[in-house]
Amino acid sequence: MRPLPRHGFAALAAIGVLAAASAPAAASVPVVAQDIAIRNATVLTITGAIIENGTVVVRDGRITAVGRDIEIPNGVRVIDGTGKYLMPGLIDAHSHAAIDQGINEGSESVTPEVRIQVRNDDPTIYRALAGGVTSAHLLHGSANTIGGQSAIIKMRWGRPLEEMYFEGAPRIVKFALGENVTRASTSVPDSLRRFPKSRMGVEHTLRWWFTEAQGYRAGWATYRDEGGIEPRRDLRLEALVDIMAGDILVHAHSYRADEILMLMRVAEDFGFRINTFQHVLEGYKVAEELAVHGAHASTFADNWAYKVEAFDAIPHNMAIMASRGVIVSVNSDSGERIRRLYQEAAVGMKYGGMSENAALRMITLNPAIQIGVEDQVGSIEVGKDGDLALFNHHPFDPAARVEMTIVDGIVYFDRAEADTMEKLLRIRITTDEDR
Amino acid sequence: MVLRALLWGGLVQLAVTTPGTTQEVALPASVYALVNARILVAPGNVIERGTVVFRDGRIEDVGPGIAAPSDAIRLDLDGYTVYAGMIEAASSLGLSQIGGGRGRGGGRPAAGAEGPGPALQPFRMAVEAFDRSEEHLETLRKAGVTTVGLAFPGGLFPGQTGAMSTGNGPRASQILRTPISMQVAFGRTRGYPRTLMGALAYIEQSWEDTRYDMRVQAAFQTDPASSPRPQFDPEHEALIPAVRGTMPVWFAASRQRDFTRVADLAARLGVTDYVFLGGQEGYLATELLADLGRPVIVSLDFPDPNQVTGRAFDYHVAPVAGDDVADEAADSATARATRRNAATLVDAGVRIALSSFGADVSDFRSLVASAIEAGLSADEALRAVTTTPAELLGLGGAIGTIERGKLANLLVTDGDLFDDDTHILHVFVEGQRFDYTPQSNGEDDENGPNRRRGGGR
Repeated sequence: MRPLPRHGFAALAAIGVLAAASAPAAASVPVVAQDIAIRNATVLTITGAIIENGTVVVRDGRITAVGRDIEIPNGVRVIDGTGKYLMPGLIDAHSHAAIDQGINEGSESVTPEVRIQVRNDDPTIYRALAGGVTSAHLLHGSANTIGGQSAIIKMRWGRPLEEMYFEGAPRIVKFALGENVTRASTSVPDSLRRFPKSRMGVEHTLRWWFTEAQGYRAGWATYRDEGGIEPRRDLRLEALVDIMAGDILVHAHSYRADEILMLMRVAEDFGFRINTFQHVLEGYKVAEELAVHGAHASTFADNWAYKVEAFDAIPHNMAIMASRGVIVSVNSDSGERIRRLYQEAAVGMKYGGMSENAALRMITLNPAIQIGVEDQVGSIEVGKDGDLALFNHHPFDPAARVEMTIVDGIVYFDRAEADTMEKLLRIRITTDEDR
Repeated sequence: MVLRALLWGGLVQLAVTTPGTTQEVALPASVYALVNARILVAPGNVIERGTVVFRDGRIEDVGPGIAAPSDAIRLDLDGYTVYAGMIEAASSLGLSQIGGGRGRGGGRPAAGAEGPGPALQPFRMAVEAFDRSEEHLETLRKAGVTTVGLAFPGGLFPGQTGAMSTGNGPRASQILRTPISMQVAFGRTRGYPRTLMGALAYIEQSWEDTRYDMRVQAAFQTDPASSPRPQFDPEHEALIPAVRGTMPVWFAASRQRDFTRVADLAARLGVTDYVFLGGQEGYLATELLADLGRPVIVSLDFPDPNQVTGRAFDYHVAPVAGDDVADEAADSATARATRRNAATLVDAGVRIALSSFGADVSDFRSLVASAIEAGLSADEALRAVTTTPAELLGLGGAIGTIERGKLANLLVTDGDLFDDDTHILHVFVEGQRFDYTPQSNGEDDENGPNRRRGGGR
């Protein structure tokens, strides 16, 4: 049995339901884990050197051997990687795919008590697999100053809900700054109008709520010291206390340099730090401050001027932030871009001259660090999860496409067997001709 | 035909017509003896030829070779079958859909002036809210339902379930048990919460708030001088029995992922005595449900095949690939699986009651018949509409079988209860007699156009 995610389904741990329950009738549902070896591929390990004609062996869901002269054990399914490129499964640090019945609890501006619910049969999961993605960070939307807690999933397409969660992943909460928050306060029916409606209101909201949380924390401390009636448990304030304690990591939606600086000041005043700034299109203006604060950055490859607060976006953002020591990832924030994160990463080489490996890190190890799962995934190393993407060409080649995507040693996407668009169109054309 | 005429003849002196209905209602006769009948005493327990005697709404005796008391109205039911009246565990007939309405501020205690919206009324009693019109009662009786469990459709904390007999009489005399359970669903409000994740947090916070109110109330009782003044929030007050664990919770759960979610929520709340209400995709979660060991009230409101978990993918690619990808064969396979749901759950060892929840209760028998056709055994079907719902309603000792001392809730049929050709000729609700002719059942004769399936089983 897999270990359980920290935030979910404690109830189910005791009763052993994580073994394969009935899978939904989706396409390509793998049934059993198998031992698998990919041989003779160019292995992009991320943390080590590139291995030409390399072999990677996965047993019981984990990588057991990586190298050039690896003997493949008997009984292991062998996949020929000749002429192909093998890299760690891609990790999307920012997605809203596969979320069930609501991305924004936008009725109020501070809702860290809510937890993103996963829809395990969202076709986007399969589409992401076709783009080599094996893990994704599903965040609350950006309507709220302090939104809800994320779900971190592995793309175990066809599996029941309880098997979708990334075991051992930390709790993460979404913060948001700027236009989306203020717009969600004003461009809504009267019944949903709320505070704040300006950037200064956002800062005040943060400070007011964390001050509340300090009082809540003090109330519990007093109760522990002096007894009396056990205080009311407030899930919202409790989450804010956990944020201040560093038990819930903060990922903050942001665009402008001024608000980025503001949030770091607020966090430091309340004794915590922002783990990762999301979007952070003006991060290049404050890259050193980000590095000093210890914040990571997860950004778009470009997206210049797609909204007012993105007018100063430049494609060099990733490279500049990385050059100042910020751990940078590039994310999709889209059910479409999630299929081609490798192309997004390549932008870092074109604009700003990132090294090939630094660009690859932006869709593998760096997002893994940002969502706190770098010990399990993000590179091809012995002991890590068997999450792999096999490409027909180098992932930065314009003609690159994913041939096979493997999660925990299980092949969840195999282009040879998949109902790809190409095949479906061919069927349709043939059928139409027959008419 | 001859026999029916005889039955009617025997009743002539007692029959009166209830104004506004076409149906004949007998005055409550105190004693009946149903003789020479085939008697389905309980699932798997048949008396091929015997007598049921009931007096003042209670079954006095049942068995072969029992003499009809001299004061009894004697109905010779040679060739007919007597069943225990069906129990619909969760009907929403006569209870309007509960929409969003205003939510509350932030899962916090009531902010004051604004009361909760209709979605947030755990204090509401289904037996009170039920529109107990003659039309609704007649719909239930005609369907063979003698006890109805009333459950609200929609909402978040929509209210508390209850059970009623479907006979005539003042409301108070027909209520069998209330409240039975606290309903928890995952609807939204127009304020907080507006999402599923918000609903889950709101429910958990409400449990915490209730616990806190209970602590303060208790402290104030024992030591008012040094305790804060207690608050009495109607929402929290209503939740107290559920929070204490003295009242079961019925959680809405239809889709595969709902069961996982509800199991997790129940564990967070510390709720162990709960029931899944809906259960349409239970067949996709048999292992989880069997492990949890909680009963499922299985709705026979079969889902649209293209809405079933996993099928979305096929429909997603259909516009490109052509309709053949999401083809009829796959749809009918999914439809078969959804109809086999009850059978699959029973095979997995899950305790189920069958319900029309979400569907039209007047189709109850034919819906059960489609579950049988899909593989549910007749005995299990009967159990799922009699003894199991009786137990889930907390009325296992009072209804569900034809046993001495139980309420005289009986059906007289001219064949297998779930056969299309079978008619219910008499319904007794706590001894109150209601007579039906095939015509009043809205059915054609056996060669009519509505005849869909053949023969008995």
